[in-house]
Amino acid sequence: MSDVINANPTVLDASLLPKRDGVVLEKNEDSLVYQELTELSLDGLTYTDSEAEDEEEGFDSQEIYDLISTISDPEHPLTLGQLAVVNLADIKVIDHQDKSQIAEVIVKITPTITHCSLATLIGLGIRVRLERCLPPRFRILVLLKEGSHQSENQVNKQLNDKERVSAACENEQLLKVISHMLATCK
Amino acid sequence: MSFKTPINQFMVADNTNSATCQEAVLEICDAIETNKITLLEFIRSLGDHLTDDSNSIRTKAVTLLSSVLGQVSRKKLYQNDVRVLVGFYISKIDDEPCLKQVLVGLGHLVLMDQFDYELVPTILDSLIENYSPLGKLATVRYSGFQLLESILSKDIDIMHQFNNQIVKAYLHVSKNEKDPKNLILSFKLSSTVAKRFQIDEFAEDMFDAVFCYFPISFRAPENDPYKITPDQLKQALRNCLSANEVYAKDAFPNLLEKLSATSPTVKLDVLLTINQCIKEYPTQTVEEYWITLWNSLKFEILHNELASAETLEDLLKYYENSENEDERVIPAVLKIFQSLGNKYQSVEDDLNIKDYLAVIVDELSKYVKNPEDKKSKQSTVILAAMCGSNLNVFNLLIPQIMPLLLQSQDLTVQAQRQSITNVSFMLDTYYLLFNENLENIHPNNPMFSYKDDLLMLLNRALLSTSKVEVSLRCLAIKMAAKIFSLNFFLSDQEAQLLTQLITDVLLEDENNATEKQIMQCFKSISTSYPNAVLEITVPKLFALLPDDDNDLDQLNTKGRILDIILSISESRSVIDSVLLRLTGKAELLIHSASKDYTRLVFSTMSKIADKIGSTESTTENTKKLAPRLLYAVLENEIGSDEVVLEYTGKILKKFVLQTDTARHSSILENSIESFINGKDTELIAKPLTKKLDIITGNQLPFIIFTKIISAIDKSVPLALPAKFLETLFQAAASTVKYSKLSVLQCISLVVNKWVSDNEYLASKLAEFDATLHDTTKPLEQRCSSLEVFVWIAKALIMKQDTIAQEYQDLLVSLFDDDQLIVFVPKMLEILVADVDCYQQYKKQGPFNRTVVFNVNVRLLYKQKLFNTVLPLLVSKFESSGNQTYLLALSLMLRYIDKSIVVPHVKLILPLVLRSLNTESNVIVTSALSILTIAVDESGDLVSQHLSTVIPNLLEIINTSKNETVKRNALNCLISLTHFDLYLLVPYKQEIISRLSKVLDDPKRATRRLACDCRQVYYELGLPQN
Repeated sequence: MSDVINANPTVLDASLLPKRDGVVLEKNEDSLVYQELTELSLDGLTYTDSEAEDEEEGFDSQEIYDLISTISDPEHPLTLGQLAVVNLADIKVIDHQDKSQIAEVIVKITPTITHCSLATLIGLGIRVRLERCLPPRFRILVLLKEGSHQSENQVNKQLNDKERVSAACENEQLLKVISHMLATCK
Repeated sequence: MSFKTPINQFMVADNTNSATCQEAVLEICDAIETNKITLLEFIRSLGDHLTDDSNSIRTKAVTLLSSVLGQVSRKKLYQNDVRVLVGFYISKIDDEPCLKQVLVGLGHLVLMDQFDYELVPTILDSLIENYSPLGKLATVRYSGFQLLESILSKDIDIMHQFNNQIVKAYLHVSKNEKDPKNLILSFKLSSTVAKRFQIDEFAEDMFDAVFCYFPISFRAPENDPYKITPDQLKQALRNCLSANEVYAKDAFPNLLEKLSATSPTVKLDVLLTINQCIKEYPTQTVEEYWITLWNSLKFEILHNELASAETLEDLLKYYENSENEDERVIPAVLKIFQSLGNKYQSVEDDLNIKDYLAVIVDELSKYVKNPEDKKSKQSTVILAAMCGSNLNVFNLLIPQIMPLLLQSQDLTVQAQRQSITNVSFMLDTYYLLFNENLENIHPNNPMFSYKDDLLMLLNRALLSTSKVEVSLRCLAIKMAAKIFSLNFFLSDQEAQLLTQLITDVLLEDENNATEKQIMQCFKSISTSYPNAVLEITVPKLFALLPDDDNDLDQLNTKGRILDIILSISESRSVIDSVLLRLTGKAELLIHSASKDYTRLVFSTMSKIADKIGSTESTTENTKKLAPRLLYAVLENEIGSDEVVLEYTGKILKKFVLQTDTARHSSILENSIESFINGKDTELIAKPLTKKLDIITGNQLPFIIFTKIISAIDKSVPLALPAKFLETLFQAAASTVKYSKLSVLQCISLVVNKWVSDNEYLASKLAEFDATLHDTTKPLEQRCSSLEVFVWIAKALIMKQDTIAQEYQDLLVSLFDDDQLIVFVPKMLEILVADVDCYQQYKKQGPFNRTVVFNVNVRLLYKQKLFNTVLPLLVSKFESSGNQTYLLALSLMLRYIDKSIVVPHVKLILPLVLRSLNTESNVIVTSALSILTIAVDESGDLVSQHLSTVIPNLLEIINTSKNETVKRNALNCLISLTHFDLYLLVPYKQEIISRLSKVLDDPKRATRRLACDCRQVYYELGLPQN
């Protein structure tokens, strides 16, 4: 990668990227007092933890965003989230909460410039990341956002062709680049 | 005795550095000093050797002579001896094999007390004429430097008459030096010569002799015996170049020329050198190059983007810690500007510099006055760096710069942001000079005249902008905080005005970021202007706290106000006043408000009380506030709310802990009188209508009583502790849920602090033994005495009483009791649990040492207990397979330090591995935690068992219903990746594929951890980068 294709991209401030609202599970202070008042008592002694079975947390687009926004760009030391290659609004999750049913994730990426030749590589990186992180019942579709690239159809076809993707994953050189991109995932 | 023996010993030795040779030298020195032989006799017996034809013999003889001269007392040689020996050495200076020892010997002679200064020119001349460093070994050349160093260490006034010879000798000796160790010495000599001697005539030669090394780069070879770092060399060279101002005419142009270097290391070196030169050279010299320097350096800042930082110091620190050497250039340049500014030392004399400074302000003013200009920040930073350099510059420049910064009106939001950032850089200079350097502040400080403008700027940013402009508002609040922190800057009235502004913003703006910033700001106000907070903010906040909750206002707002009150309580005066007001509030609320609201107020009070610094006295609070609080709580219905009682207890404990020890005795007495005997004492403000009786009546106030007991100094005597204990035992029989533990802890504390009667404790033990083992008694009764027993045991074990072991033995023996065995794990947990009432507090004791005053806790009690109980648990589990033992182990581990567990890992590990597939979450959780410790600390042990560990972990992850257990197992799996690759590769595929189920886990956090775990295993074994 001697020639940098987009040398001067727009960068978003990492702290302003979309985040899940901090649901702080602060324990109620009163219950702490009660715990302190009774914890070490022998009354009503049982040795099991209280199992708080909360409701199920389904997959949503924020979760997908968290998975892929920290992938680094192959040519800048920045993440795809910071470069606005992936955006929360362009991620769609179709999941019926039924684990026996097939589910789908659609990610539309926006290359930083319309002739970006690295779009396929970025798409492949996202694909690999999602395949590693999502349960097998998910179908993954990575597309370029409409009108964001000169050879949109061509790239889309390439990215979602199973044969070609698995062939690409057998190319060691390519896999090395991808694993480098995924190294920053948090 | 023959002194020839040591001489011969020396002469026949192979290695003259060997211990025998050293001894021989010492022996000779001793003989000379005790006048057993004279120096002359010694030399005579060396005689022939000194002129022997064999190089090695001759060298050895000279070595011996030089060594003896180096060891012998400096008073021993007479003037004539020195003269003769100097002559001898000089005659040998062209004797190449002996040269090093000749130079060493001369060096020693120079240092003799009776050394004749007349000899200096002779030595120097022969050095210049007959010694050439070219082609000599590095150690020989080093001796040459050492000789010169010895000469320079003599009386400098006398040496001045040999000025030129010394300079010439240095130039001669230092020629072509390349060895780093020699260079360090050479540079040292150069700076001494340049500083102490007249070198005008040789300025160029002297300069060239050192500047030819610049920029010096050096990488120490491995195993470098001298441990010379590149930085030492660079600094030594810098010291040379800055040693004399006659270098200036060569130094500055040459250095500036080297500034164009592309290597950032060189650039940094150049800048640091320039800075040192500026600092060392006198003002008149620097003056000539002032403008040149400015013109060559300004673009280093002006043409760079500067990172965003809150203060100038932060900015410098950010860049100095940068890993990128390019960036470290920036603080180096700014420091040069500081040094340039600092040359304006005298308002009367340094008129040129004054003009130059004006030129700079003039040049930068076009950027500074327009905050939207791209260079405005850079320009301000440069000016701030100069202003902060000294008071003169500050006084000169502030009236010129501040109007430029403050003049613009009607700015865009972005420009306002920049404007505030810039102004606050200038405020940093005030902080630097008057807060840190503690310069005197005169009433006509130039910054004072801009107070109104600053307030206006803040007003504009905070009152007339939208609340959405979070970053601007935060900046403005930060600047306000900075203004508050400036020493003697605001008058009280102004501080109130500004506090008012910030308080208004606080009450209106609910943005999290802004609020956080405001809280930071209040910290600064609370410390510098507590009165402003007390007079403005506190009343406003309290006005918002309703006296009941009949209005529709939700608890949220009250909670927020109370949180704010908690955060602004930063200084002692604010804390005291707020506590007083809250107590007043609580007195009202107890009658009118809901339980939740009252609890909230009490919890806030307890947190505020906790903010009192641990060394401050709370005697006054105990005297005045505590009785009111106790009365309010205990007189009313709220006194039966255990949560309020707990908070009240915490406040009381804090107060008592820091009350003057002299008062502890009466506090203890009064507590017993009030709580147990139902008498009225000064502990409670007014007589209670319903007297307290925590033994047989309402036991809930025990919660407070125990807290007080835990805080009382243990040196305060308690009358008849055994009798008192018996009273407490009566209360222990009761089963009031929330006070029960308090009763037990109170018993425990009394035993720990006051009972030392072993006979009594032994009889008690016998009693317990009988009751506990008496299976005819109902289980309830046995349980009840079990609890009392375990808390007494805890008290004794914590202080490692002599009888503690017997209590522990009884406890362990209960493992064999079919009915009581279920309680034993919990009891072991109680023994090691860190409970609040045993928290240790320290105060100043004798010999200025801090000592724990409230409880008796030995440092290693947990370790000792664990070390004795553990083998027992393991062996019992091995023989019986009863999981109770495992459970006991797990419960204890919660409170035991990792470092105590590590040595036992080998013993526990088999248990852990077997318990990974049990049902109990408690056991699996602790098994996993031990396993994680084992993986980190003794990996070898675990790596032998990977074939059981990994499948077990995967099984847990796939089958457990408990999220925490699953996550612990995943974490454990991740930490396994520290192991050697070959151990893990066989499992890689299995792990990856078996983790796919948990990717669909109902909990997001678990899924995420599974992703991370799979990711590390995917990457396992791939080439790095």
